[in-house]
Amino acid sequence: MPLAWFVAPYKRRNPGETPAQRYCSMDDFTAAIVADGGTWDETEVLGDCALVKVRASNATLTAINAAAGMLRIPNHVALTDTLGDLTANQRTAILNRILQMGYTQAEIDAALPANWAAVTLGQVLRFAARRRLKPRYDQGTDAIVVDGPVQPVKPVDVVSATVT
Amino acid sequence: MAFPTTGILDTANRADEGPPPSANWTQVWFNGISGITVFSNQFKPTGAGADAYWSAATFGPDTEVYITYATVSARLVLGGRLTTIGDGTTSGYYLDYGGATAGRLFRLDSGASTQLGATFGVNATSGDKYGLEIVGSALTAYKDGGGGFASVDSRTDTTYATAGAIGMAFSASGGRGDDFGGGTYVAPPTPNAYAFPVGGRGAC
Repeated sequence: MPLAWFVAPYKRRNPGETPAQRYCSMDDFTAAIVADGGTWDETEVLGDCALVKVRASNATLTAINAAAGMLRIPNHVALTDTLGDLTANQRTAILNRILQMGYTQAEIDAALPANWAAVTLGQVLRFAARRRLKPRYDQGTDAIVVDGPVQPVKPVDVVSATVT
Repeated sequence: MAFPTTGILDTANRADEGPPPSANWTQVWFNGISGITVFSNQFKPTGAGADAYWSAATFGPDTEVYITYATVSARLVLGGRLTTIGDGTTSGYYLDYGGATAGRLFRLDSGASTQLGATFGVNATSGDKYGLEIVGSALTAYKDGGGGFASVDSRTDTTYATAGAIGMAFSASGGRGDDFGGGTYVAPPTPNAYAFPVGGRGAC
């Protein structure tokens, strides 16, 4: 069964209810994934999103990729794969998403070479999973705000080993 | 692993009282809108959004908590490793199981909940027992539908690793609980690899 990596946003469940709950948007597809005989696992990262590895049918993976906020990592699943075959647009989409998370261009430049011919998927995902911030609930706006102290991140390698 | 390794803390088998259910409990760890009483030998919310935590002791860091969900109404919540407890301040982990929502495991960060992984299992059934085990970074949800507790699903999270309280919550006033239990997880004994048989060859 096919595998894929996604960058997935967190969503609010039952706005107005307390305590406020957020969930990885991949859970919207759990029923379809399970019906396929698949599974998924995630690591929460910076920018109120998660890196998610999914095993599901091609149809389900396509549906996930069409959902708002989802970004599928093209062509590659193994962390040891190099990414030299990505087009400029595909590479830009990934980099823009990492910037959107909150990492700086300086951090990216220091960690990832400009030439992705030798960069592995693992390097990119591990960079994106360098940190996450502690969420809090803002009662005035009924919003979960992710702006607290840096928190531990579940390693990408654990996620990769969990979904095979 | 066998679940649970700890005993029942409160059977609710006594005269009606509360909220909270007794002097061993304190209200407000989850949403704290309403309290929980003992009524007809069961735990009964006084309204929607009722909670209480076992304040007579803290447990862990490896922890268990479980309850009989005597009457399913909306959602049941079981919390463990609860610290900085208060209205909108509690941190720790919880299992959320409902009549129409199946099971979910959450990390609670000062009142903001983050679901860990996928929704799992099947919707709650009245009379079944539900439990949460937290050992190291492993959180495991258990269910006993009459044949003994069996694990339903598990997640990992390393954010909260210290001892804390355990507690329960009901999202709707129609929910009822019974036989609340839990405490510090008791690890199975490590077999002695060098043990000699009693008598016979090898005995000194």
